[in-house]
Amino acid sequence: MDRKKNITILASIILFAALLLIAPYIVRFINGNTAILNHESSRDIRLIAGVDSGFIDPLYQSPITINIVYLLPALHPYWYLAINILLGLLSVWLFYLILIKHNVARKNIWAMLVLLITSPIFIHVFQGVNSYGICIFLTLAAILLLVENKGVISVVLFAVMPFINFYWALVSLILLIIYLVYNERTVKGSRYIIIFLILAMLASYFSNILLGNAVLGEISFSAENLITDIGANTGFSFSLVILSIIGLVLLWERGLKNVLVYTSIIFLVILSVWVQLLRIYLDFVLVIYAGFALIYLNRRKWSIQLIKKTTMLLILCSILFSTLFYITTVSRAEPSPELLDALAFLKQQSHPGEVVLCPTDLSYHVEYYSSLKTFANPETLLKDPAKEKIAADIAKSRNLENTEQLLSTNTIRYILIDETYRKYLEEQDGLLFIMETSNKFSQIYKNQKFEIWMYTS
Amino acid sequence: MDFKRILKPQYYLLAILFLLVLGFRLFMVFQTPNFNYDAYFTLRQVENIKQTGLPLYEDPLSYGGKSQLFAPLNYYILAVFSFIFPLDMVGKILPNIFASLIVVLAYFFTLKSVKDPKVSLIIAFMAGFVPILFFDINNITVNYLAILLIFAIIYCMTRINEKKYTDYSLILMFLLVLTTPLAFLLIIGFLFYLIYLKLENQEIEIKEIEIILFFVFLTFWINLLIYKKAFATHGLLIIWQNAPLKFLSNLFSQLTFIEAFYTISIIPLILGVYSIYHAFQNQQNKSVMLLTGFLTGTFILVWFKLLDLVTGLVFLSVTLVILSAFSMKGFVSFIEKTRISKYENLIIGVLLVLFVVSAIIPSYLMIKNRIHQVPSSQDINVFIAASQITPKNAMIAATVEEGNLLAYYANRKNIADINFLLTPNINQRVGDIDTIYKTRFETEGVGIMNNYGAKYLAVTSYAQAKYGITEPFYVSDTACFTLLYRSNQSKIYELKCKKR
Repeated sequence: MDRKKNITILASIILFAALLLIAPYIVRFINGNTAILNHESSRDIRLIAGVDSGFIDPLYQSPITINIVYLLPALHPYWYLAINILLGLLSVWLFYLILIKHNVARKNIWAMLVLLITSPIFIHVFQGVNSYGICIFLTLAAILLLVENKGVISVVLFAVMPFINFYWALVSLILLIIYLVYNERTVKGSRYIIIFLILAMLASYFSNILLGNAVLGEISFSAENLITDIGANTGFSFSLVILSIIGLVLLWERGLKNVLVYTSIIFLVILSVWVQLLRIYLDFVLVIYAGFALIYLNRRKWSIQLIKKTTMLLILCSILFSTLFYITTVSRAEPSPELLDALAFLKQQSHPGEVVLCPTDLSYHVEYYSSLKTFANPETLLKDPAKEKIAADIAKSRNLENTEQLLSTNTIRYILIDETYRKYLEEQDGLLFIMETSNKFSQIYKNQKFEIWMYTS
Repeated sequence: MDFKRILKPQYYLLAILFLLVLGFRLFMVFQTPNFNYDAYFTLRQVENIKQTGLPLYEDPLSYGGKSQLFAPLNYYILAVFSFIFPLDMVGKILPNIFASLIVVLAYFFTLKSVKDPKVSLIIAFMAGFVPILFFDINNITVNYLAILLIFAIIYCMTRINEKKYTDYSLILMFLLVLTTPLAFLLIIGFLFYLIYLKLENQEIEIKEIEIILFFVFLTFWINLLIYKKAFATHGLLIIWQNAPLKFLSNLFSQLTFIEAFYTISIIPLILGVYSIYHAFQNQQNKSVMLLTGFLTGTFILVWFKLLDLVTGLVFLSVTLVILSAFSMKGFVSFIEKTRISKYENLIIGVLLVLFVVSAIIPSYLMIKNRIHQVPSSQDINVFIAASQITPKNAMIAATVEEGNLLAYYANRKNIADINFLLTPNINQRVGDIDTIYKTRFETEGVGIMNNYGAKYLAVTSYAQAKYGITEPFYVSDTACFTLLYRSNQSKIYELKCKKR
């Protein structure tokens, strides 16, 4: 009876997770937008469709970091989306099994799962097409196998990770070491697992070097907001943060081993301000403490029942509100129908080899939907930071010759402008002034949200 | 009803004190019929509530049309009273009643803490005349209501074991959260209070934790609901309300160091600090820790420029006044045990005289200085005339400080006012307004006005004083500008040409 009840609850949570992941698409479909969400999705779909075993970006003809996900057969993007959503649901199930193995109480597990599936990071990762989804799935599967003393199989999974995302594997290695040190049970062959993972990482590293990729330079360090309720793209909700703080306080235990765990968590929190990848790990950690705190607050005898009921209601409302707010924001994100229309026009209009100057946060969409190179995308900016200055110089130059030289040198033919970029250009009062006054530029496309200018010389 | 309680002499004295403070405030505030510039936003909100039942969340006039975000309770309270009394009177009287009620609150707070009616009356007297409380005397500020609610909550927290005070604290918390985002200040104060209790190995009552937890979630959630758009647009910069840089620097330097020092008043400062020292060293009094926690939180926020100076000083000074009750009680008890106990009243009298000299006189001077920082009648006449001689959808260029005044009297759009939230490129916009008045080049001035769609230019006495001009250099070009209306030195011009 208990078993049936547990299965029902788990199935309901997984179903709810599926609904949350699909919800933004339903809203977009209703508004006539069938594009896949997330900026990185456009990049990954383009590379899956175009990369061969030599890991050369077909658009830029330059080497990319080894990622075996790109070797998948070229299918309709919805297939990858479906696979990613499925991986999300499977990850929820794996997380459940891991918690069961660690003898976490059922009610706590349900709370943790609900907090996980309503967390903005979970929704962000599994509602698009990216390799983080498979990394999470593999990591959870490997941990589960490790806990079940099937270290040999878990080695295989851990060894695959560096060939999907090198940094993911690096962080997994560090956290694995901490986990194995903290866990009193001796995990069979734990040393071998670590050795194999290091070997796999070295293999990935040297393979990338052979292909001409400097893997170690390809992680972005930029301080970004952590809280989605105040505008972060990938972050945590207020309620999750507060609950996890309460959970940390409640579960605080003295002891040297715990110092290691708590220090790791603090480091993870601090580093995640700069490194977005770490937020995905942190999400799973925070959810555990937050889930514990939620059940504890519900179960404990409050001195004033009215306060208990009101507080629990506030907590649930804030979780719900944060999730809805995030889903609403995401469902309105690019690519919008206006952007797709603009890029379809650009694709028809342009010739291969031409370059588009556009806002960085639209660059991957431009590359995928128009099959044109962009002057600067997040990846090229990492490899060549000078491009940022060049883009700024182009924006503020009021000298036609100077602007022409910059555009010609960088083979920029088109300039895609959205509302935010237009405000930026108006502030710079350089490129916009030149485009509007010189006959060497013409506006070839305009809709409600986007305009495309062409450098005709 | 217990008439014997009501007839106690200290309650008479308290009532007299309240009326004295209120009378003093009203006497000063009615020296001028107008409010200061910031108050006109409040007046517009109240009028809209009276007409439609809702505040003006979608403001068609501010910045040419934008959303406004604020906690509405204060406006509703004003609106309710303005159904009975004229709005101008309500705007003058009600905030000052709230400010004067601090006297009553301070009395009962002190009475509960030191159980000495004489000391409580002295503290109440001090609380009524702290100079910084007169800074915004002519502004329909929400701060007075916020002070009342915050200290009422703190008072209820000191009596949390009495059931009715638990209920009161919950109600007051709801009211506070719907009144002002300064509820976050109280959360930080509670946090420091819990830290102090932990450090002093004092018992933390479960009820306190529960209420604080409830308050934390309530504050976060309500403020997320109200300011969701602002959070999404500005992120953490919402703390500084998207204020342009030149206004931001003013927020944290409205007073010089010396001025900040004497607005708190030296006697409560010394007595308050001594109370903290004594409480932590010897008594470990929880009420003192609670007030000290609040004091610490406020001080840190002011120090790190997360809270504007005036608001911070208001809370700091009221907290110090209440804290000084403990020192005062100790002082009075000490005198009673000595040979000079027969001179007790004289000594207290001297102390009060010192307070009068160090606080009331600066209060009076502060009021005198601030009370005349109101729009002049000629400026108001210009805006009233603008409502009659300009089209309904016209935009009028005026200074940022006069934006709300313009919207209130002229009922026309402004380029900018002091509500900076949700406004993009605010530094640019404020800079453009400065340029309109200061530039010597007609193309520049006219170009900026054209960019914003402003066809009228108000050159008020305020703008003239602010920019050190009698009028912008280029308005003498009669081909482009026509003088539409004049009231003494204040004028309004119509722009007839576009940028060449």
